[in-house]
Amino acid sequence: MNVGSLRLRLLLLAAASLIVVLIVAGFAFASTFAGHTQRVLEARLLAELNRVVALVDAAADQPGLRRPMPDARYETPAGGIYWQIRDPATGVTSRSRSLWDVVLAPTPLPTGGDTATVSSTGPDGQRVLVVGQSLAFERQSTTDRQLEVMVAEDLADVDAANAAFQSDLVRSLAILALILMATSWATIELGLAPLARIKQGIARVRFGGAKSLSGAYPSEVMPLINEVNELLETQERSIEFSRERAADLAHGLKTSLTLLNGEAFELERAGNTASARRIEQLTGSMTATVDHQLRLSRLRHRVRGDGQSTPLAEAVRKVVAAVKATPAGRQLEWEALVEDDPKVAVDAMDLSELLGIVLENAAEWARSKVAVDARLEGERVRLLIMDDGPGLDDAALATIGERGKRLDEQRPGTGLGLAIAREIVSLNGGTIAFSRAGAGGLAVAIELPFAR
Amino acid sequence: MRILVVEDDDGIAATIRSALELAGFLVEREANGENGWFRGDSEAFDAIILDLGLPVLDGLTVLKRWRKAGVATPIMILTARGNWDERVEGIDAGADDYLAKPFRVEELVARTRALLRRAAGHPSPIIELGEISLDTRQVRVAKSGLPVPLSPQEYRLVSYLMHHRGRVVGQPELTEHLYLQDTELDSNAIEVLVRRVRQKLGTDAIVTRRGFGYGMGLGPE
Repeated sequence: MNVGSLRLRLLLLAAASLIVVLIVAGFAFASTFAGHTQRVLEARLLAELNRVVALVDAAADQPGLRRPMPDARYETPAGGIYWQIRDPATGVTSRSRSLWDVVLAPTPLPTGGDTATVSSTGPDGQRVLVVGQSLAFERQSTTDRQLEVMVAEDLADVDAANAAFQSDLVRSLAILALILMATSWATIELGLAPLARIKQGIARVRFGGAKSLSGAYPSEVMPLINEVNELLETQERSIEFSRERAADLAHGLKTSLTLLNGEAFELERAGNTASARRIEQLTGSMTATVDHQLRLSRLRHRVRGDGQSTPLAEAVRKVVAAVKATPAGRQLEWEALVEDDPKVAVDAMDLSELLGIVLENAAEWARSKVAVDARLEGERVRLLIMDDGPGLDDAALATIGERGKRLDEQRPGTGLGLAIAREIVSLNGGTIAFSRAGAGGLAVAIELPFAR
Repeated sequence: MRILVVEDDDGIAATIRSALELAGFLVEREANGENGWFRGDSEAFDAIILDLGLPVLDGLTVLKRWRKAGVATPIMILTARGNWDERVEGIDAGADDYLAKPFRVEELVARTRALLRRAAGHPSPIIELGEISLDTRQVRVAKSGLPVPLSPQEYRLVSYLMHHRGRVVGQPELTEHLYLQDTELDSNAIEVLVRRVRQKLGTDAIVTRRGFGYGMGLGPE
């Protein structure tokens, strides 16, 4: 048994106890019914016995009835109902025609008005129920005569009734079992429902931007919910703390690096150009490292809200304006076309970062023009950014955007930036692809989920 | 040419000041957003270098307030955050350029020069007016191709008038852009400065419009 599943465990337990209870109940019902039918038969046979006794002719040598029993079945061979009178002193027996050539087996019968009930075999070998008693009949001349009187009836009807009852009983119990299993299942599902809600709540925390498990839960589950919420809060605080430390660290480092650049400037003025260049190279590579780590920590530790909806056209306009303000961007012709003003299901900061990285890269490489084209295609927003720069060969296109892959060591930032862009796109459920633009430069195709 | 630097870090402010002064600019510095906003709002500067991470009043708010109040001075923002969102918001709020820390000092100076040239409508770092040329990168003035040695103050006068060539610039405006705040000035300080420059560049280099001010490259009266 798979003890790993609480549902299976409870279901198996319910099924096992149900089967045991129903089997015991089935036997109890069947035996009660059988006892009842036998008692009814016995009562009837007792009445028959009294009628037979009343008609016994004890005076004759061969004891018999003074007149036939009114029930015609006594006169019909194997008629289903029988009587028999036996004189134990002589062993002489007389019996109803229905018994034909069969003598009911003699049994010790009680005297003094008591009766005995036994099973025996009838004329066709069928089972019969026998009720009999031993009675003393008065005779005028001699002493009293002791006779054994028995009546019997076929058990076939009783057996048939029992069988019919049992088959009905099995059917009813089977239906009952099904109903009980269904209610057990419903009870288990209902009982376990809070667990499913906890699971959904945790999924919302992981993917949907919820900060804690909310809503009403049964009192038995509340301690667990409280524990989980406290854990989440602790985690959130610790993430916030690390993020602030990272930002502080970056800020401090950058301030010092700026001052170091100032020193390099002074060195150069004093004529020590080689040292100045060396310092600038070092501050440059340190800056790239700090920026990269800071961006990654922002991406990993950001809080994502549910149902993001950021207007793309506005973001494109603002970012194009920002890139246009750079020395590289100022030289270029910009063409930005966003059709239908779609909203994308991406965090606004992520979208700015993504567009900024890709557009700055395009501006850096373009000769004269950068074109941005965005349109709605079904459930996705397709964004195409093309420059007319030197472009890339197939080998470079295949590895572009992989972390740490710089395509041209002379011009910094490209590889890291596009790796971040790839990361942002995948965190927001989009895709990014690189190819050769018609004008010969790089074409970046980004697909982002559309926000309804 | 007077530049306002709003930067809270003393070390960085000092570095910026020395580099800009070396490039021939006058530098006024404020260390917090509130004071920076007030100076930028109430005085005329040729350019403003504004750090976004400022105490008291953050840089983005300062920038938005200036633009809302109609301050048209070219502004370059500095930030240590280096993320695009801040940059995009800064440009959207009306900044003209953006520089991420840590920057190279030469880059800051070059960008500041470019900012001033663009504001004055001169795309080239060398402004030429007849025989006289002003090289903003070299901080040099030449006449007929020959360098003319000028004192920093004389250079600032020529630079300001050439950036605003074809326009009559009044004495108060010149005073504001050529001297630091609270400088004790003789009433004829500008007149004396103009005379010295005329001695070096020729009498007709700077034209006087009595009662209005001075100008370079003005059309015939």
